Amino acid sequence: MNEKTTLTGYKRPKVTRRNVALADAAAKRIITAGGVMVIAAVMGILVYLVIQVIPLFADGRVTDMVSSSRLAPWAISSAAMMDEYRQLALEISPDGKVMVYHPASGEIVSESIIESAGMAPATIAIDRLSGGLAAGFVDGSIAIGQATFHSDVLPAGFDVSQMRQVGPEEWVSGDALFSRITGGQTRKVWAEAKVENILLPPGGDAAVAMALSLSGSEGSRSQAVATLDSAGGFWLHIAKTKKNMMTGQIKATVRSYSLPRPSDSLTNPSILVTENGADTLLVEEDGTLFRYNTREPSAAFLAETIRLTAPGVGISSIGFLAGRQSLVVGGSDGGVGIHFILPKDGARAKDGLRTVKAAGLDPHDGPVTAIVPSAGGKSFLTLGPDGIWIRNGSGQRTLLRLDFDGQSPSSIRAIALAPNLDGALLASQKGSVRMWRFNAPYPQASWRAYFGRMWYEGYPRPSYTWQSSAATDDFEPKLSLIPLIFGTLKASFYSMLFAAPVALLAAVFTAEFLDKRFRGPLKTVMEMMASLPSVALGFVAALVVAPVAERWIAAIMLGGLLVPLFLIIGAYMWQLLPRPIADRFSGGYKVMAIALALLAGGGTASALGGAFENLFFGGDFKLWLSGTHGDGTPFLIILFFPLSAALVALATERLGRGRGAGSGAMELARAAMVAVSAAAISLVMAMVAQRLGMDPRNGLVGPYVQRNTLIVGFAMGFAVIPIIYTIAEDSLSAVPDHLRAASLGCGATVWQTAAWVVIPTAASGIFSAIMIGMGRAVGETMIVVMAAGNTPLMDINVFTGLRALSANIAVELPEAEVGGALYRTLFLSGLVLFLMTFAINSVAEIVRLRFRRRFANL
Amino acid sequence: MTQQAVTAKTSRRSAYAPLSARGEPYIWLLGGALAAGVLMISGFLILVAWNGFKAFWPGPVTVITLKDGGTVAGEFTRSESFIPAESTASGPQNRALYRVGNFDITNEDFKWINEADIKSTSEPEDILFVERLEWGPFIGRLVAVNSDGKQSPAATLGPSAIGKLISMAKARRQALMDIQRGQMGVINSKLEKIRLKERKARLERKTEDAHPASVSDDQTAALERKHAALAAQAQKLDAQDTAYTFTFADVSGVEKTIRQSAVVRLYAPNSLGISGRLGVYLGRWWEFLSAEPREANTEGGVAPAIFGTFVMTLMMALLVAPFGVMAALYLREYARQSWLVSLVRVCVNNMAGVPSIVYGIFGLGFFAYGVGGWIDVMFYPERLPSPTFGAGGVLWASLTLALLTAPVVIVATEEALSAVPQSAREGSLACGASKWQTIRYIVLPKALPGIMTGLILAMARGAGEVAPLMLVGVVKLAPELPVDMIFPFIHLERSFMCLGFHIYDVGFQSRNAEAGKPIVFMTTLLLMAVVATLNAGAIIARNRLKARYVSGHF
Repeated sequence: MNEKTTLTGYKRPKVTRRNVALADAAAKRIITAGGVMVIAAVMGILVYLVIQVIPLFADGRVTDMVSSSRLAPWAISSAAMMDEYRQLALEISPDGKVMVYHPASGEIVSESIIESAGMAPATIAIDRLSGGLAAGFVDGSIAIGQATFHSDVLPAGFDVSQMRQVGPEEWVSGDALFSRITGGQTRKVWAEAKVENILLPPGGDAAVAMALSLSGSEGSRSQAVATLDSAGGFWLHIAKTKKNMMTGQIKATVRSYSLPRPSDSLTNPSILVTENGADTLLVEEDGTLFRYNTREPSAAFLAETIRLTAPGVGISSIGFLAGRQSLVVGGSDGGVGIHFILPKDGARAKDGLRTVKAAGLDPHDGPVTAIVPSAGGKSFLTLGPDGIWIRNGSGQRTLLRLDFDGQSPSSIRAIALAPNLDGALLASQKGSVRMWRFNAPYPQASWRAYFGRMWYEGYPRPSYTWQSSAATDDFEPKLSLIPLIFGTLKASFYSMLFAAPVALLAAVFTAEFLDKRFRGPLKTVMEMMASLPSVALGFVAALVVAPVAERWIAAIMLGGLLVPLFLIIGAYMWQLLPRPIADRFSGGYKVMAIALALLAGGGTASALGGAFENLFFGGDFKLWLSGTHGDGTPFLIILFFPLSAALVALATERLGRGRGAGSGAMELARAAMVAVSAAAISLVMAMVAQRLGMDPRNGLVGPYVQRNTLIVGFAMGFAVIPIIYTIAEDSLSAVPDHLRAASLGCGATVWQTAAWVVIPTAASGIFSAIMIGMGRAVGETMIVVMAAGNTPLMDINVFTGLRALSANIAVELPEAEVGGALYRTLFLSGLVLFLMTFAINSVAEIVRLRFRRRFANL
Repeated sequence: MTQQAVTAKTSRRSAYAPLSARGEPYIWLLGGALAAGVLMISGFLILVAWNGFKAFWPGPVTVITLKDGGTVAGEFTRSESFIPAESTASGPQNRALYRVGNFDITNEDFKWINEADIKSTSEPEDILFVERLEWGPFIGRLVAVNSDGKQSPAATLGPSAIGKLISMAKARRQALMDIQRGQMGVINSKLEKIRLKERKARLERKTEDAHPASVSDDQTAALERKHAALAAQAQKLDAQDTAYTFTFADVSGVEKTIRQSAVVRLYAPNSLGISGRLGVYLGRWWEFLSAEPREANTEGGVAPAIFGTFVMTLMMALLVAPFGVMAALYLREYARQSWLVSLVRVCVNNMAGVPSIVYGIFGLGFFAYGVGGWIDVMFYPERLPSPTFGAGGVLWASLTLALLTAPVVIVATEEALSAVPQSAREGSLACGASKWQTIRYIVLPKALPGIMTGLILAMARGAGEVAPLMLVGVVKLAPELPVDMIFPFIHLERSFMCLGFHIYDVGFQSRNAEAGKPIVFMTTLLLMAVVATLNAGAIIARNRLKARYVSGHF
């Protein structure tokens, strides 16, 4: 039995050859590994985007904390400051003692004293934002100066062996701190606080409260110092120093102005001066703000008296953020609010400005005893009984909460915030110091800043704004994604408004009414159009279509009305043909007739564009749009016309049941009647609406810009039409023919079959076609970059530009600093875009699967 | 009785359905939509084709005498009617845009001329249209020719003599370029390599002072000597070249002397016959396809962009083909079909619809800054802080596009695989073939046209893509091609130019959008032709596939 030979005479091996088995196993491993890898890579995009975005929302993190308790006990400090390397702290006592020390060890680096002719100051004011310093003496003189940190990098090989070591890589010598940095180099850091210029000579009354604002640069500086003196006088001194670039000579001018004092009994007043001394604020402890307009100091007046806190709540601390536009008010109840001084219509104040509360932040448990701004950005620190909170005004967010660890807040004498928002320092009356080093790299990022309505500095009201960069340093980045999302949706909405009807109607005609011979080539052409590079569309739209559309806008609007009208008129004319003739020419000739009607509509529109403009829009449509003349009625008529026409047509539908020879004429007459009465109805409706105050120019339409949403909608429609058409046509022609046969066999016309049998059956496929088209419109980049004008506005006006998420990424990402807030924000907008398209596509896919399942049963 | 009633009813019935049932107006609207779509698409194609094809056609140059006494010479571009700003004139007027050239004299390339201002026009035969290396075209007359000190008035020279001069000047320029870019470029790159090597050696020993191998000193010195010699030679050639000049005068008599070698093309547009025009036209086409761009990309050619697009698309295809097919094979042939696999399939399908700019962000963040930055730190520390792989480049662009097109290829391949009848697989397995043998010899060959369709569609998409490339390595002007004759020949880290970005750049970022329009339209035409050719290939492949399986499907 075993001897049985095979046909070829060779024995067939019963086992798989080794190399085959090996190849099989290897292929399985490789394909599985490769396949999983590729799929993971493709899906990994989402994960990567999320990973890039997470740090934006992460809370600040304390990296380490050092403390020492070797400092001299002081009752109180006027202010404390930290250097940018978090190595030195500077404290000034109210009587002029200056102490510079190394917080980690408590080692004193230098000590000095602020004095004038051997006299200690009676009061000291420090502007933490600029380091400006003003000292008032009992003899009534005032001196101004600065508290500054300096640093220098010394080359490798600098000898530190003879110095006092205060830390692992830190030494103190002379008045400076030395530390080893990368590359063997040494950094020298030192600080000084001194008054240099006499602002006021002795003679007047001594100041009891003081505030200053320093602005300008080395070359030309202006200092505004406001003082309350012991005799009850309220003064504003403005010192301007100008340095001659050639000689280095400093020229200083000082002017003093007396301000009217609001009342004689002020309880514990504090003074604040805005940038350049534009406003001088006097704040009483009980919560009342007296705002003096000092833009013209010689004609200063009390502009406004307003309560900043709720009745019964006092102000326990107050201060400006960088830029001196945001006034942070800490209440005795723990509340923290940000106030702006803004121009406001109907403001009671004489100068038309008003102090308004822009935001309320997370409250402390009890009185806010200190507010310390960060020199860069809008971050600040507040001190309450429940801890030190690091916050940001732009993001309205609490970044970090630091505990005192049992220390009583009343024993705190000074508190400071590092300029780069990476450290905080707390000194107690007993002489112990604690310093935190922390990380809060994205202070202004928060859900509210990205998706909420925010009140930005200088803005009249809360708004959604995208403005990522500007020329000035004090700039507050406005990173709301809402205008971009709105722009994306606006562009896709208008493009779908144009593309979906054209594509779907064309698909229905192709599938149900067009001769089978044309279908194949037509579909091929459409498929090729689907992969047309969008940069070509964007270029043609922006450089060819946009200028033409600007000239012919009235004709284009008219064309939108006339083309469908001409088609309908054409249809009624066609109905006048005797049936047998109409049936004989129902093939290609009819298509040609339709195309002719279309062209006639377009041609008429372009010919009558000027007349249309004259008749409806007073001669110039664009001027009419800008709202300078005419009223909203003409446009309302156009808006209402399709609606009223549809209503009238429905109401008179029963009249159109004629079958006989004259029924074509009857139908035509009915259509004419519908048109006339619809026109009349829409006129009446428009006039009523106009009386009711409706003007489309405030919403749907408005001032015209060349690169606008209409152009984008058109160009993007171009990109989307082939996709929707192809998918919709596929699903329509996938409807089984036996359904059509049954319907036709029951006596339905081709139109009835299409409308009531084929389209409902293919509805889910058509829907998924629209969704897929929408997905592409949402993500389309080059067309919006080129044709949309890239203005991040939020209005529904068709004739303004927009900025879409995708275009924003393309424009801003190449310039964004890697790992910075803008960079990650753009990643976040990419994630939003991803999720939007993914959601749209998923809906389309789910519907498509349902459609397939349904077809399996047919 | 009932019989009668029925007949009575039917007799009243017309042979036709009521008119409203035929839905004629609706059908017309449907048809209108189709006609509108077709008209729009053909209008777009005709617009691009017409503007592209006519862009290089040398039109006549008109000399216009204005009523205020001035004369202007220019090539007619287009005309329009406009309403003048001053309200004195009534009604719209006509004006025409002329390409007047002579940017270095008049500071404008194009000029609008009101019809009302024209006194007379003429088309003199001796007006020349001169295309130059710099400053755009010059329109005017040739006054004198200076060939190495030999002055000759323009009248004594025929067009062929001038043509000879230009081709000689071209040869001189070529020789100069050979030295400056070719030989000196090679030496520069060698010097740079030595410098980097030294820096690397220093970095490895972590000292600043020590000097590495003394060999490089000799090498450097030798190279520098050679470089100096070449520079001297180049200077000599350049000095020689300055002795060959043309002096032109524009229509108002302002003279301009330029080097002969700065003239790209020179012709007398008004005396040119049809064959002459055709010659100029084809010459411009050839220049467009083969030359490098000039004048901020608004003139010259797009050869580097064509090359860049080609290299990038090819690399993308080489990357996406094996991996896409592998993923599809896994999904269709190896993975156990469960709900998880269906979910993955839906997700992969959806990824095809994720906007390309999102892939661009990923490419920039992950490939360029992430992987590229890591490669720089590991392998090219001597070049830091200037990035090598840590910025956009052709490799990252291809990888990004490969990722972008992977879903397209996966979906197409899966569809092709699922179209292979199960019976074919079973037959093969029954014959004793292993699974891999079945896939390798039965399934893949049958699915090949479908896979090719997907791949070609992916290439078409990649070639036409711009947005993600703007982030991962496309630049407006790349100094070097990604492939050249300097070792290691293929420079994957280099940024590159591509056609799609060229359209955006020239159309939107150039000094004078009007001057760049011919190039933009031509580039658009070229890009559309490339994409359409690829698509046509895909459709042909698909039709073949359909033909092959038409019986197996149902």
